[in-house]
Formats: sequence, structure tokens, C-alpha cells
Amino acid sequence: MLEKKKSKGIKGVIRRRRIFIFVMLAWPVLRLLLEWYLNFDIIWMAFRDYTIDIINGDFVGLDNFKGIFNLFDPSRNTMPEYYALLHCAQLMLLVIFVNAPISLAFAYLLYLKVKGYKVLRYALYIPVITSAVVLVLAYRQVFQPDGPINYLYNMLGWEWPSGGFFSAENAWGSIIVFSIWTGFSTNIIYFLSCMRRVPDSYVEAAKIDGASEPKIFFSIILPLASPTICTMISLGIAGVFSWALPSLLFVPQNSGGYNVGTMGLSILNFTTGRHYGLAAAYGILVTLVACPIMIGIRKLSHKLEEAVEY
Amino acid sequence: METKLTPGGIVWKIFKIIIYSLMVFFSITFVGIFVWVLINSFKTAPDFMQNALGLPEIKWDYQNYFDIFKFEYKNNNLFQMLGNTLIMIAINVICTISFPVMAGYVFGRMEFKGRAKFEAFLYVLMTIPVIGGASAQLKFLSALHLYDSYLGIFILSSGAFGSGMLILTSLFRGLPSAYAEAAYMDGAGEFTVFFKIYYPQAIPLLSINVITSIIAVWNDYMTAYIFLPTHPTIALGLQQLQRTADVHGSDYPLMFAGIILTMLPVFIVFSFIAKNIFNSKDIGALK
Repeated sequence: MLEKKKSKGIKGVIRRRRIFIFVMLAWPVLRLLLEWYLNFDIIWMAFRDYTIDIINGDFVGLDNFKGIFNLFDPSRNTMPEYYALLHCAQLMLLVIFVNAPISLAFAYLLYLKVKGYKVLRYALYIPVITSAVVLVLAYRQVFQPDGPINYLYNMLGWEWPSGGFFSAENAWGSIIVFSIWTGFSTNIIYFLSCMRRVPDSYVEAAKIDGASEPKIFFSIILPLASPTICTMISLGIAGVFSWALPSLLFVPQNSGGYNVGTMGLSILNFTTGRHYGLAAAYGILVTLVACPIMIGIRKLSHKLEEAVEY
Repeated sequence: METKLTPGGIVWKIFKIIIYSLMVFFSITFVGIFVWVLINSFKTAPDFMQNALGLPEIKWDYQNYFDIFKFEYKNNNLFQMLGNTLIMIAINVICTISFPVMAGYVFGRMEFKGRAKFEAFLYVLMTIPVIGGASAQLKFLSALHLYDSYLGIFILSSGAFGSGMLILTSLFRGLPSAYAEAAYMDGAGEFTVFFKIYYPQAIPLLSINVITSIIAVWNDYMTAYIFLPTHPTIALGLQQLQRTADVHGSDYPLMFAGIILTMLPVFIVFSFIAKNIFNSKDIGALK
């Protein structure tokens, strides 16, 4: 009798636990399914044109893909799309070789609590809490002919670039500088946080063994921080594929001749222009490029994570 | 006793001095640029045209801070844009404090058949970057007549599986079971254990997530630009102000007043949580 009661009780607990799990995961899983329905819908949309029927679209075969490949043809376009590809490659190099090392070095000095670190960490975090719109506005104003940079140029006797920093020719260079200027702040917080997670006992033991500061950095801190570094780089690279905002904000509306295109900007322009088929086709092509890169980085990250579990 | 520096040590010291100088330089530019914007927001348009660098020559003009409230975009004045932004913030805060926590708790603390496989599957899904999803989202929302509506934004914002959930999963997994076991013994159910014991322990991390999400939504221009065209947010309004200033080429001080007013709430909100963010060890658990 007691056994029966006990077994009934256990069954009740299991049933209640199942209901709990169901309730807790119902919306998250439903939302995940919707997300993946939409992701697969992109494939369907890539073969259709939505100019007339905005919901169902008309089947157009490979026309959207042909349309995208035509964008790369220099004989058909004054600004062929391979510039967008080139710009994205440049941004990726920036993420890996400029922004990641800068933020790692800054985070390390903040970790060491250098002089004024409390003020510095606030100041360096400003780009994270500031809208890109505001940052672009402020940056643009500073580089205008009546801004402080011109004053600096006059003082140093340097020649002001013809057409200014935001002319059609110079705009992309200015965007790159802007991306360096604002690109490392988010990483600093993550790197600093993961450096704080390194157990003090590791560092203390190394110090007792006579390890120098560079030795501690390269043999303890850097390896332990490497999974986070890898993750942040992979997030940065993933961001490059849909990177559009600075180009959109830097360039005057309806202006041609500005060579500031990125793949993300093209997709955004197709989307807001309601050319859903072209946006979907371009999205698929970019996903095919992005997938192996992202999976490769994730695999590397997992390997590093396994090697430095602490 | 002074330790003698080796050549490697000297190089390391020089390297640290260079990095420190760079840090100071970047910090000065971030702060300096906003001081410049603040000063210029108190100038008249002609004063700014003649003297963009110095202090206001004619007088400190506060009129821009009143005139900015007359600015309208798509029949929305600044107060309406503020209202739109606050609704967007409310939606995002609700999504931040609910769905990722629910999923993170189940994966972090519950044992059930297929959990490990499902979790591994989620990791794979999260690794695949799908580009160009906005077109499918727009089409989906249009088909359900949810385009340009807050319900549509809620559906798009309510995804649970992301980096936030991963950090919460690892947080819940690392928490001790003793309190929960005692509560089970006292007859507490799963929901009581979740809400009374585990959820409160996630609040410090969630408060960081909430504040960062408030700041992100306050500054977000893209979501309203793509999905909510007739409900412009503050960030979208500011961008429009920039376009207007670019076209007319004159009223930059008015725009600067807009920038300062837009940034003020963010700085205030951030100051409450800054210490927690800078000292957090949980954020770095992202792997």
C-alpha cells in the first residue's frame, strides 16, 4: 500500500515537472520554430518576385540570383558590387587585427588597475551607450571644415583633403577610421570580465615561481581568455555580414557616386525598397559565405575552451 | 630593493606606456567630442557658423533646448517619439526578464530526456548566421497585418535562445541545490522553487541585461526604420533631424541640443549600473 502510494507520488512529481518544463519552454521553442520557418522562407522568397503580389510573390526562377550576379558586373554598374565585398573583407580584417588586439590591450591595462583606470573605463565605454546616430553626427561635425580637426590641420600646416573627409572619394576611409574609433569598446567589457575570472591563485603561484609580467600575460591570462576572445571575434565577423548603419548614416540621402557599399547595406536597401526576392537571394549567397567561416571560428573556440577549462 | 629590468621587460614597459597613451587619447576624444557638442548646443546658428570651436561669442543661447520640442517627424513630436521609445523599451524589458531566463533555467537545472541533444542542437543553430532575415520578417508581419505594430515588434523581440540565455544557463547550472532541495522537502512545487529561489539569484545579472537592453533600444534606429515607420523612436527622429540639418545646412546647434537631450537619460541610467557592469565576472562567461 505504502509502495503504491510512494510510486503514485513519484509519478505526480514527474508529471508536474513535465508540465513545468512544457510551460517554460513553450514560447521559446515556438519562437525558435517561427525563426527557422522565416529562415527557410528566405529560400522560398529568393525564387519569387514580390513587386506585384507582396505576400505570395510570383515565381521567377533564378532571376533574383542573376540580378545579384549582374550587380558585380563592372560593364553594367558604375559602382559594381564587388566593392561591397571588398569593404566587408576590410572590415573583417579590422575586427581581427585592429579592434580585437586594441581592446585586449586596453582590457589588460584596466585589469592591472593602471592609474586612473576608473575614469578611463567610463570614458572608453561611451561608444557602447551612445547611439550610432549620435556618434556619426558628432564625428562628422568634428571633421567638417569648421570643426576642430580643421583647426588642428591649420595649426600643423597640413593640407586639408580635397572635397573634405566625407566626399565621395574619402567617405569610406572616414568610415574605417570611425569603425576603429568606436569598434573596441564592447569587447573591453567582455575581455575585462573574463580576465577577472582568472583565479588569483594561478597568478600568485606564477609570481612566486618568478614569472615576469609578460610571461603571466602570455602563459596564463591570454590562454584562459582565448575562448572569449574567439567568441567576440566571431560575433564581430558575424556583424560584418549585416554591417550597414555607418554607411547609411554617413552618406547624404539619394546621393550617387559614394563608394561606401557593404553587403549588409545592399540587403537593407533591397528590403526597405520592398525588393524582397533580391534581398533573400543576396542573403542566401552571403549566408553561404558566412557559414563556413562562422562554423570554423566556433570550432576553434570550442577547442580552446576544452583546452583551458577552469 | 629595485629589480633590474631585462631587455624584454623594458620592451614590455614601453609597450604598456604606448597602450596607456592610446587609452588616454581615445578617452579624451570620446569625452571631448561630447563637450564640443554640448558647448555648441548653446550657440545660435550664425554664431556656430562663424565660431565652431570656441565658447559662444554672442550669448549662451538656451533657445535650442525649447525649439527642439517643436520638431516633428511623420506627425510625431518629440514627446510622442519618447512615448514610442518607452513602449519599445517596455517590450524589450519584458522579453529580457522572461523568456531567456525560462529557457536558461530549464537547460541549466532540469534533467529531462533529450536535454543534452537539444542543447547541442541549439548551439549549432546559433552558429549558423542567417543574413537577410529582415525581408522574411517584413513579409511575415505584413501577411498577419502586424507590420508597423507593437505586437509585431514583441514577436520579433521575444526570441529566447541567444548569448543571454547561454550565460543564464551557466549561471543556473553553477548555483547550489541545497535551498531547492529543502524547499522540495517542504512541499514546494517547481514554479515556487523557480520564482522564489532561483529567479532572485539571477536578478543581479538580469539587471545588467535590462539596463543594457534599455540603452540599446533607446539608441536603436534600425528597428523603427524597418518595422515601425509611423511610430518613430527618439533615435530615428534624431537621424531625421540630421537629414534636415544636412539639407538646410544651418541649424546644427538645434541638432546638438537634440543629441544632448537624447544622451542625458542614457548616461543617467548607465550611471546606476556602471559599477556592476565593470566588476561583473558573469559577462566574461560568454564562450
